[in-house]
Amino acid sequence: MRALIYNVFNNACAEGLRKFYLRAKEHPFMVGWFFVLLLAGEWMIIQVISLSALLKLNTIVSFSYRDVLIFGFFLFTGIAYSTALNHFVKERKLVWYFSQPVELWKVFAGTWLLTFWLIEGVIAIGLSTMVGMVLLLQAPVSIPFDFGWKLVLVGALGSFAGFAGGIFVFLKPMRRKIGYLYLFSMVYPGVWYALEHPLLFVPVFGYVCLLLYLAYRAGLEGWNNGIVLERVPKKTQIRIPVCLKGQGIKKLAHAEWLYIVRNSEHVSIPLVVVFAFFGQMLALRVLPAETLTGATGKYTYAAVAGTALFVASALLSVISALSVVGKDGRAYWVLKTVPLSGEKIMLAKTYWVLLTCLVALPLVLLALPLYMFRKIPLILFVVASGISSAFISTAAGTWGAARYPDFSAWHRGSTDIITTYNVLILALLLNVVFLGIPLQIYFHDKVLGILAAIFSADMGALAYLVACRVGGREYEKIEK
Amino acid sequence: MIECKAITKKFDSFVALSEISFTVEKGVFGLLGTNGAGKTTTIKILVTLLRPTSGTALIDGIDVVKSPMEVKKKIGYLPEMPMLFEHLTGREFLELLGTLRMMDKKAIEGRIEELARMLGIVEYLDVLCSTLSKGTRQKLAFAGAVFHEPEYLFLDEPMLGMDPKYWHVAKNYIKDYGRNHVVFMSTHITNLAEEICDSIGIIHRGKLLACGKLGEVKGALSLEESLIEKIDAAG
Repeated sequence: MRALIYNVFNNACAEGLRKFYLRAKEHPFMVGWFFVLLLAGEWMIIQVISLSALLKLNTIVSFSYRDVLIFGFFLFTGIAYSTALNHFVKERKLVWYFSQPVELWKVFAGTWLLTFWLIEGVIAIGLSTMVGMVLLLQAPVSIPFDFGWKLVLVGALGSFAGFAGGIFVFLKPMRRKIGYLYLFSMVYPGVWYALEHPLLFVPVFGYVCLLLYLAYRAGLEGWNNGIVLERVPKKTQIRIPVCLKGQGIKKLAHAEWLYIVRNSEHVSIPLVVVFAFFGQMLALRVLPAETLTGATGKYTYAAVAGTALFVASALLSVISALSVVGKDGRAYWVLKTVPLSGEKIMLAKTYWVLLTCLVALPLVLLALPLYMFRKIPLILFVVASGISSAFISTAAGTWGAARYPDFSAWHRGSTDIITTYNVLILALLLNVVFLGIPLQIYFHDKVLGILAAIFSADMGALAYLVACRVGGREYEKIEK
Repeated sequence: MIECKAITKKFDSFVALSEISFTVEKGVFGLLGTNGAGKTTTIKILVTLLRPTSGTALIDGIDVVKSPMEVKKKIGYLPEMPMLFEHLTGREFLELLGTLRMMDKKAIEGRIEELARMLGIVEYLDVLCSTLSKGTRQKLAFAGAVFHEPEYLFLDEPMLGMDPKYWHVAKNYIKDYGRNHVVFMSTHITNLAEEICDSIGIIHRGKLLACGKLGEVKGALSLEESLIEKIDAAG
């Protein structure tokens, strides 16, 4: 009995490891760079904590371990949710288990086990490297035992709840799905209070076990819905004129638009804008007044706006652009065998990503000038900066899409976590350079700052065209 | 004319094709062999989807590695198990291919009607590709390959999943098409090859065992017997 659970678990692990090995073999530099960035990220966190302790900033902005743990819980449920989707609900290969005399709970438990160990593995690696680095740097950062065991427990709870949530999302009809998701959402306040009063972990643990049991009962239905009913494109027809030169490139851009509309991907665009827009206003309301005044006050505003902009550009621009090549999946042969250059294909494929970001990202940045300052120079500056960010973020995504495409069917073009992380960091660095320099100039001279932002947007446009050309060459090199 | 000169293709240490050389002239050429023999790899190299590790492949005198764009203008390709753009309807898919091939709108519309009627997919033209059956997808992909009437037509297992009626239609179409064009087809079905191919190549474990006119390759035997005999002899 136990062997069957481990068979499912082992097969899933072996598949993941082999895929990782192949990816590492194909792009060793990319994988190496990922680990360097990961360690550098941890090093930066330690440095920031040390510095804030040194400057006594921690008395102004204080993040408790409870805040970190609840953030971790969100992250772990996210990982578990995505694992449930990719390894259970949308995993067509499970038919080979379901058609054998194997009980469903064993397949379910085997897949959940993968989620559990994945999360605990992430915690183990993250925590041990962090502790090692603190010891090595002799940094004034304390990692109490209380934090450690709670993190491990929160990871386990996240694996239960997120895995169940991944299955609940695929249940029908809608009222049943909403009912189950309501039960799922109750885990978050439960964990929040349990972090304050550890005894509450007992009922919370019982509750997530119940969720997992409900998910198991609905598992087969979720799997059937996931592989058959989900994401059937609708035959929607919304015509929008395409401003590109050339018949072929125009038609291809139109086909890309149909892909977005028929898979309802356009719905997420206003949602992200609204979230990022109001997120800034909320942040300014909850931030202590001391952080918004004085010599460093203007940098706090810039940090709030910059964070919102980066979240929006990551979701709308970088991640969307990263998927444009891979999403063709096994239909990649269609565009590879027509006489259209790689550069034109990349231009047509990223046309809508760029266009929506050119509108959406300036809108995100308008939150601050509209909410607080209402000054024309600032409005001009943020609009130019938003345009600049749209160009360079799309450029980073365009290059990544052609250089590291992922044609796996269930990814729908999304690149693996390593590539996504690396390209996001690249986009972040480009944003810092292209937006940070004009911002610094703007703080000294408003007119010069606006001109610098416009120049930066021009350079961003150039970067996008270069990315299409270089990406086009990479696209032509793709062999499958 | 298609010319392959000492083409080798390696995937890491695995040799998929080993110094194969052949020439294909006007007519229907059938490439036969066992599973994993290298048929699809050969076609993928000729349609510029793969680059050979060594050797030269020329289509109409144009090098497939040096001038892929020029080669693409001359070819039509039907892959094995063709995947389509799931979010497009059959008509939109064919329109896209026609536009990418620089055909004018009127010609595209006319060709869609003509091919849809021929292959019996008129009622599926305005249905999303994601909802089509395996056979209908194959017919749509077949229509896509011959849509712009290419000089060189590459078909990788073209009859897969087709119903008997349209098997007959497609078979006659390929035969007729070969009279004025070059058709390069890979198949496992020896009866089909015997019926429509003018010349034959037999490939096994990446090596070309025989290549020439149908009569020369099969001799006094049937094509199936000749194929088995050659493969057994190669070991």
